[in-house]
Amino acid sequence: MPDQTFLILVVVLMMAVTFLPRALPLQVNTDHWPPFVARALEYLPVAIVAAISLTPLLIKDQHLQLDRPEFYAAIPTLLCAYFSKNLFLSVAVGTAAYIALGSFL
Amino acid sequence: MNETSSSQPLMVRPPRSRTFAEASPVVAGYFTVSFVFGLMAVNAGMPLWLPVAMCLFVYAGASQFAALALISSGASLTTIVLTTFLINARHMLMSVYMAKALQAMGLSRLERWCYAGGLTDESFAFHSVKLGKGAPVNVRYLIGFNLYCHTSWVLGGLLGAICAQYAAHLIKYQLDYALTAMMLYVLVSLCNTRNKLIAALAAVACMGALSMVGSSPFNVFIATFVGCGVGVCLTKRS
Repeated sequence: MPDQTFLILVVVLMMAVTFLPRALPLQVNTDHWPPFVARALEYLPVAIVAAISLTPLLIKDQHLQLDRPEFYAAIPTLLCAYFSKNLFLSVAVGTAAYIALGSFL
Repeated sequence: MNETSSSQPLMVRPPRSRTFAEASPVVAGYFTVSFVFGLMAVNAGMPLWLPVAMCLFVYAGASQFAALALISSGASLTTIVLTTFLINARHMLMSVYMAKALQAMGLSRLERWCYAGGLTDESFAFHSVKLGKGAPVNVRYLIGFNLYCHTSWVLGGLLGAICAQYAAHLIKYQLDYALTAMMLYVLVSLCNTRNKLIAALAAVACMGALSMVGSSPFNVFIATFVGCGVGVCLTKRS
């Protein structure tokens, strides 16, 4: 087991490098930003959420791998989210599909 | 509950129970994932306080798991800290968005620091849907939402660490797909116009192509810029 001082240092430094990127941009005064930045920022949530949520389902270990339960379970989840507009139902359908597919594939 | 709140109109501020109801899917998902984190940390030979301290102070899913693997493999402090920084650098983008989106609310410095402490992928996703719809939100709602999520993250880590000896077999259930399903739901909600759908597809295509070349924490930055760029071009044309 690594010694306690090392672990405390790890936690403290990890906290610093996690908290500062979250906190510093939020302190900036946005009053004088040019209008095109506002137009670009309008697309930021959808772009970043799409990139971080969908890509790991399509690609694993630098290869397109679609024959995984992660990917198949995403299809009913997306359909359910689109048609039902119900978060709890979509999460239930997605998790159930993932567990069911995991036992077959 | 008490006399003062019942005499006020209902819509003035969201009651605490509604904040909790809206945060509950994230709360449940976080609890499950951090439970597994606590379990894994103690099974990897870490002291009981480590997963709890990490959940409380670091509060970042992927980088906590990465750090655990690195500590176990005897990596240096520099490697661990740099990896954490790179994995979490994407939060800078989210923070920039929130700086603009929360501008109208006139947050104080302290409120900004508090909000930043709870900024995660999931809270960002949920809050940006709400802000994008123009729903009435206030700072109490946002920070309250984050506090519920953070609390469940810490409690999950603590419980996982305590139950490590008895519950190691629970890892195989992989309930963490709930978090993925939640993000997919949010993605569908965010794609409310044709332009946004195209921007999302552009970001995924770019991120996918980059990930096939090599997995790097910068991929998400490039993909987000491409997605935003495509979006801006579409806005100009229409």
